[in-house]
Amino acid sequence: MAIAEPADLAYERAFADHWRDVFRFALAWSNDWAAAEDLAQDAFLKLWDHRSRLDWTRPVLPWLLVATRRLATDRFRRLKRSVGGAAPQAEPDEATRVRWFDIQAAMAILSPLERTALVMTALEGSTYEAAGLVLGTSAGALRAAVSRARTKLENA
Amino acid sequence: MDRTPVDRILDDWDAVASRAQPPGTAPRRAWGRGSRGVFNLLPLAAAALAIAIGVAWLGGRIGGNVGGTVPTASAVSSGAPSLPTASTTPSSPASPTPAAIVACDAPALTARITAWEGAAGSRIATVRVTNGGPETCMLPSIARPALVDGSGRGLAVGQAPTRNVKTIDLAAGAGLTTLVQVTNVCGAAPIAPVSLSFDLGDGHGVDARPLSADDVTVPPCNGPTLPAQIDMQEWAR
Repeated sequence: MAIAEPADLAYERAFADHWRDVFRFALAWSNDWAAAEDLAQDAFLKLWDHRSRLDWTRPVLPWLLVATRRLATDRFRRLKRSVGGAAPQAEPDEATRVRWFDIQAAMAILSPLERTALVMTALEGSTYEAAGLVLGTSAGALRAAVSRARTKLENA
Repeated sequence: MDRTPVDRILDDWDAVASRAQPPGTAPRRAWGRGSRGVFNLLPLAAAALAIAIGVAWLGGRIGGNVGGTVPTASAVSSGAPSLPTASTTPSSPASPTPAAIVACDAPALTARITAWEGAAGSRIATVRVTNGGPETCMLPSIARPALVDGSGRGLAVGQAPTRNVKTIDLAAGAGLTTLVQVTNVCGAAPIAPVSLSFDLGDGHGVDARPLSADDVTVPPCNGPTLPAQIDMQEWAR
C-alpha cells in the first residue's frame, strides 16, 4: 500500500477544515454561487500545486483566502470559463436557491470589497487588521468599507 | 434586542451560505485524470510538439532565449501567494528600478495588432504597445495574453506569468513589440473583430486594436478535445 506524503495529508486536512471558509469568502466577493464554488475549487487546486513548498506549520487559511481573492480579480477568469467551461458543481436545493437570489439581490449594491469586508468582520469574526491582510488593504480602509456597506444596505 | 435590517440580511446570508456542500473529494491535479490512458495522451504530445516547433520558430525570429521568455505551462507558476505577510503584496520586480518610475497606467497604454502570420498550425500576431502617458513608466516584460472575439468571447486564454517578471522602462511616446502565438482554436466561428488582450495583473490590462474591423484571424482547430494555446514573447524594443 502506498504511503501518503505528509504534504498530501496536510492538503486533505486543509480541504476538510477550510473548504467552507474559502467558499464563503468567495461567495462574499463574487456574490455568485456557481462562481464561488468554482473559485473554491481553483483555490484548492492552487494549494495542491504548492503543497510541497508550503510551511504547513503555519495557518493555511490566509494563504487560501489571498489565493481566492487573486483568482477572483483575475481579469481573464470569465473568459477562461467560456473557453474551458466550468467544472460541474452540485446545485443548491430549490429552497436555498430561491432564498439565495433574494440575498444576492440585496448584496448586489455593494462592491466586492464592501461585501467581503462586511461578511468577514460581522460574520466570520475577523479583525479589521486580519481582514486587511487578506484583502490587500489597510484596516482603516476596511472600516470605511464596512461603514459604507452598512449605510448602503440600510438605505436600500 | 431588535435586529437591524443589515443584521437580518447578514443572518440570511450566513444561513444560506452554510448550506453549501463541499465536493466529495479534495480536488487534485492529476495525470491520467479519469479514464485517460497513455494513448489518449498522444494528441496532447503531438500538440506540445507543434507548440514547441512554433516557439522555437518564434525564438529564432527574435533571437532571444526562447525557454526563458515564453511562458509555457511548465514555466509559469500559478500566482498563488506566499506565506505569511508577503502573500498580501504583489511580487516585486526582479530588477530594482528607480523610485520615480511607476508602473504603467493601463489607460495610458495603447496596443495594436500590426500583422498576423501563419506557421505550422498556428497564427502569430505582431503587437505594438505604446505609452501614451506623459511620463516614463514600467511595463511587465510578460503579460497574460488572451485571444478575444468581437462579442467578448475568450477564444484562447494564456497562463499568468507568475515567476518574478522583469520590468521594462517605457518612455513617454515610446513603444514595444511582441509576438503572440495562438494554436488550436476550436468551437463556433468567431465574431469580428478578433483581437488580443493583455492582463497586466491586479485587474488591469490593455486591449489591442485589431488588424481590421472585420478581422476573424484564428488558428486552425487541431483537436477539439485539446485546449487552445496562447503564448507571448517578452516585449522588446
